[in-house]
Amino acid sequence: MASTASIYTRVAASRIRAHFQYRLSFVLQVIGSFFLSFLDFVAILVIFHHLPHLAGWSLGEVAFLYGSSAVMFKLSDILMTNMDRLPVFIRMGSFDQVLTRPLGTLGQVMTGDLDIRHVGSMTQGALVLWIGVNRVAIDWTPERVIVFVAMLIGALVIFCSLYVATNAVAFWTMDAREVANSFTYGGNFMTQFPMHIYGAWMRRIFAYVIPLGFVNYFPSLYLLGKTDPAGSPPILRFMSPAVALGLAFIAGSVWRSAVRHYRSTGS
Amino acid sequence: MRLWWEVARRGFRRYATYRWATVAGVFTNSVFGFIRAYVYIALFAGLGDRIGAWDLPDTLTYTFVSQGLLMPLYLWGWQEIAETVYSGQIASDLYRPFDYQLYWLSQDLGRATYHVLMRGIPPFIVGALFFELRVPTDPVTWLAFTVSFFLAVTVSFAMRFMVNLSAFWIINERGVHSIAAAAWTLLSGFTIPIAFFPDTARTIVRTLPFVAMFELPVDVFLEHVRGLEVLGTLAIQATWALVLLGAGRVMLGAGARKLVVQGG
Amino acid sequence: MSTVVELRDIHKTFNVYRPKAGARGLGRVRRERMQVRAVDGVSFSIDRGEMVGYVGPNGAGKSTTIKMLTGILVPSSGYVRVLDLEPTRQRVDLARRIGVVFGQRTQLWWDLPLHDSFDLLRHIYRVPEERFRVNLATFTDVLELEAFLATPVRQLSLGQRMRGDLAAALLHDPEILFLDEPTIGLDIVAKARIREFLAELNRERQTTIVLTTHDMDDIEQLCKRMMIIDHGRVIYDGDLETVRDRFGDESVLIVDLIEASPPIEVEGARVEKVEGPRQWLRFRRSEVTAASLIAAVAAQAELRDLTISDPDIEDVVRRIYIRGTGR
Repeated sequence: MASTASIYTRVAASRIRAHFQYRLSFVLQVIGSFFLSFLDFVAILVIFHHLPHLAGWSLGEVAFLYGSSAVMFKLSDILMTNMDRLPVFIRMGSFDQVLTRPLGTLGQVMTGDLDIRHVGSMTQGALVLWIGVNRVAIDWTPERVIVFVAMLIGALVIFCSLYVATNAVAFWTMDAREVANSFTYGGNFMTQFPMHIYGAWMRRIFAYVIPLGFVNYFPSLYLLGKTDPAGSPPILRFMSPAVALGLAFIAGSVWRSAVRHYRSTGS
Repeated sequence: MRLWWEVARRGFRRYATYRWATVAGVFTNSVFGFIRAYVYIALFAGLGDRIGAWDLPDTLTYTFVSQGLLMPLYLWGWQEIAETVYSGQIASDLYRPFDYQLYWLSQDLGRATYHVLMRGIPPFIVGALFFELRVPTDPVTWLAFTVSFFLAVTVSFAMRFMVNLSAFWIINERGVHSIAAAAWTLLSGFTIPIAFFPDTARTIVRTLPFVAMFELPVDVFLEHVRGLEVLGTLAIQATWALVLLGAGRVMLGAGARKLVVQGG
Repeated sequence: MSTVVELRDIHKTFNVYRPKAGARGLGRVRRERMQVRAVDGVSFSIDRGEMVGYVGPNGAGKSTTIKMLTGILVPSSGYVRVLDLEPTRQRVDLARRIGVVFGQRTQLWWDLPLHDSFDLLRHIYRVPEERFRVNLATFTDVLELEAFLATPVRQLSLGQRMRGDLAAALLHDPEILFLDEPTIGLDIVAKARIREFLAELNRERQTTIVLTTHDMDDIEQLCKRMMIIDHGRVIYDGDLETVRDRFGDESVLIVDLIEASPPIEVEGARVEKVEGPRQWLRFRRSEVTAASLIAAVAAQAELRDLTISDPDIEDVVRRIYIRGTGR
């Protein structure tokens, strides 16, 4: 098990190194994406120009949501760089190559490329998160620290799982791929705001079907000491890790099923 | 209402082979539309009635109109011309016996028509099914909006044209393009209505050409401009279109000269 | 364990969707489903140390068979074991012990120098360091990789890349090497080099080699045993000489004479066609050599130009069929 992990690390490291080849261009792009991603946040600033609280959440609290989602989403973007390119990958026959190697298919696809230029926008997310943390008064008890860390890790796992599950669709059809974006990028967008602003039907979907509510909203209720006006059960605030694991398991099954399909129908 | 159904239906039939990709795209557009809509609902819930001339139905309508305009205006990821520069093909393209810029413009207008039918109208319909949207009843408004739409596409094309041509001088046109795209996404009124910006910012942004892409057509659609004011808005769009197309031609000339000097 | 590959009654059927011409419903394009039998009841076994050629025309089912042997594709039905492992369920275990080379695709990393690719593979296949060093040195020497070990793979020529791929596939000392059209697109010199290398590999290391090709020269130079596949079935399994004798050693000498003449009469050759000054003479290479035939023809008429056309695998297959159905 350990040696498999080290194999993946090596492959990943070599892919990352490949990006450093054009050093100047790399640095410029990282810096560029750092500033550009702030434009994203401007819309939120404009909203708060008009009122001090959006659905009962202050700017600092929304920044907390935005930042925690952004930083983990961008990290998942890095890890899932190759997922996006799955259709091309498959069409070029590279997936056959993957099947002839003594490693798992998902691991190989993931470590096939890691675009760390996203680190620029990831930093922006972290910065907004830090600003948010500073503006809201969180009483950092050991429990809260644990929940916070679990929230971030859970967010990463949820986003990665969504990436895998929705992009696996590429094994069945190349056409419907854009749907994947509505789950991943849509998921990131939607988690920038407190979940109770969404219509009841959407809220239920985001809690129980596509569990984006666990990316940051539910744990934040606990961390920020807020209540959910929609009246969700308090237990949900601590279920991030379980939900994330469950989703990861489902994503893994979808992937396995997709690979099975590929192996029986060819490319 | 009936008019769109007929047009939409015929369009769907003609491009039936792409139906899943279109459905997927419409789904994505709609999802983002829903998220934005709820944010605005929350905004107005806390705010009361209006921001300037905009009330909630206005803002919801704007949300789904802008989602619908996203594909026709093609803000991101259009590199066709840049690719011909990098591959050298542009050298022979420039020798063709028709106007290079007008050729690409007409192509783009055709594409935009396809996109507005296939990717523009459906998300709006989906939004209309779930939210209270404001649909103009005055045929003059519709006429003006159609003109405004095509002018917006022209402005968008002119800008994309110039960004693509930067490939003559810059190796990483993609990088320039993403910076430009991020800038005009915000400054055109797509991300959030310019009308919501703080006063000074709003005044400044409205002097820029980007508003001709989203904000101005939406103003027409929502009938925030009436009568002669509509003509004024269209005139602003038309002016920007001409200015930017002109700038594009200058850039094309400079690029073509560079080709001759360097031999491609 | 001397049988390393065993296939019994393997079938592979694909569903192909084609749009039905002219049928357009309300925005729906009707598609019809056709079943293509890529592999239609194939059985054979291969022993350790054999070098087997798997030939057939394009679309005959060669690549599909190889894909099933290496775990890429799952058979629709039938029994397959490679090294006593089931490729479908034990893909990873099998992958450790076999090497695979695809002629048209590379398993090397496009933007990395060749050496870095080898290094990555060393870790992926968990090759002990010493063994890796020895193998790398050997292959670098035999395949003459020294000159471009540091070159990114995308800058290599097809021949260089193929040599790199061969080395890459063998670094972990696989027991079986599968090659899918390894010499396709290569020039004569490169082909010869690859063939020589494979022959030696089989000799020195007893590596079982299974290669698919539609180039008869590959078979001729390398394989004692060949299987001919057509339309998903193995229509011949035996050695090359027999095929030659019975089906494939005819060639055609095409001569352009200075002026049109009546059909040339030469011992061992039969004029098949005459078009003006050009004549097609069919002969058997086991009966008369091309050289002596040319001499004989030249003795009778003045030649402007000539060409020898070799039987390709399609010809051979056609003949086998004709013989088969003629029985």
